[in-house]
Amino acid sequence: MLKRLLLRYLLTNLNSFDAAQFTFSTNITIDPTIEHSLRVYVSCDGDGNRNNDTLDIRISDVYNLVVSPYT
Amino acid sequence: MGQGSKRITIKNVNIEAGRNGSTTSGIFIGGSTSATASGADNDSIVIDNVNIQKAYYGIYAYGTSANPAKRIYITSSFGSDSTDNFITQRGVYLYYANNILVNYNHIYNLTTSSSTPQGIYLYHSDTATVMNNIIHSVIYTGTSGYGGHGIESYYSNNALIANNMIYDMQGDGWTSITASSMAGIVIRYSNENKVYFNSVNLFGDYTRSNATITSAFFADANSSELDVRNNIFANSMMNTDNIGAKSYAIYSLAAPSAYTFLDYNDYYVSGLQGVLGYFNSTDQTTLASLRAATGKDVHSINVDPEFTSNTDLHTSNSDLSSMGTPIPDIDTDIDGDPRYPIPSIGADEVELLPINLKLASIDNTIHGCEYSGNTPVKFTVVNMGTTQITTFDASYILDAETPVTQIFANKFK
Repeated sequence: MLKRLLLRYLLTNLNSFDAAQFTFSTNITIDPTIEHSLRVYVSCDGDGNRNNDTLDIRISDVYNLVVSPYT
Repeated sequence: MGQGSKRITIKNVNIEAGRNGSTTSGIFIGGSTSATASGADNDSIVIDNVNIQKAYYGIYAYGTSANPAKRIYITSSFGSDSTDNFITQRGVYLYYANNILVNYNHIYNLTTSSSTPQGIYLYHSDTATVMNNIIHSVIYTGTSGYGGHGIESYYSNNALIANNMIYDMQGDGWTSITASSMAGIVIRYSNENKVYFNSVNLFGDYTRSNATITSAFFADANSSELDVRNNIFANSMMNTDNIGAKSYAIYSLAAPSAYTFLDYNDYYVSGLQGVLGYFNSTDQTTLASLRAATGKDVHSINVDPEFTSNTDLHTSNSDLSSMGTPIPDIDTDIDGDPRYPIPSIGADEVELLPINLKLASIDNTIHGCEYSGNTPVKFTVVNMGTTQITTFDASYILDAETPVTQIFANKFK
């Protein structure tokens, strides 16, 4: 338990040029038959550059990717 | 220097060729039979802190195909503020010259009425390193459809063109850039050229009745394996005689597949004739369309670089800070200032902001057997600022649904 908390502590204190991966506590539900768009953005008080805060991805062909190997 | 000149240093001198209206050179490295003949075995020549003016070519090195000149290191000044003493056609002209270093030169006020002037011209010259040069005011003054080129690589493979500032390319323009209209960096018939961290700014009005084009960066259809990253390509030129003229940040006749890398650049155009890019024989007017056309430039941006002025390409625009990607062995900028681990775009490294959190990637791996329908959203952030970050908000939106926002904070606070 302590190890887990410590890990979280390290992950959320970011020094210059530190990188860390995070996961939202809620999941998304993907329909494999259609294309989805997913936008993620971050916000930090005092952030002087808002041009690097947002990314978009498209999630598509999930159905084919899942099914194709087994058909 | 005639054929067979080796291990020669020319240092701390001023040179005038005496005439600049014909084929003279401040320093000629070639054959022995004439001042324009090719010559073999001219190797290991250093030209350091030399000022050259009043010449047709500042330096002209002309080796042979079988035996190119090798290891010529050039760090000097080419040009004059006096009209009578201008260099006219080319500042540095390398023809059959390999393993050349052209570093920390100031090349300026090249003015001619005969054809396209070039600041640095690589012709059949492989493995040249062209770094940390300031090249400006390369001007064609005639009326036959030409314009200045800052750096041109022609039949020259494996060139490294990095950390250069290029501005004020002038002329009356033409409807193509190949060997003609104004451009900052030109790549033709050349492979494996690497173009990193350059700042190019084309500006000013000119007149020609044709629908002319100009571009900060140009690559022809005969070049391949190009690597173009971390550059600012800006263009605000205006042909006041033809409203159909176009001013591009990047104009590529090379297909997207000709680029090993094309990313982390800032493309910026302004004015009525500005067009962001040209790919696949089509104008690409937005960064989104440029990305769609090329499948590249995912991390490139479209922001005003806010140069100190049109003729001083330093900048403190934080939009450029930490927006580049590290390039091995390029760890300083044009001023010798260190590059940060995640560098700025352009020749001048921008000071870090106090707080700058970057969303680096969305890390979902939704494929194959990992698909479950109910999927976590993962992402990676990087602290690009100087201040430690202990808390931030993050949100996601799936298919334009209501945003889901979460606070990520230090759990011990």
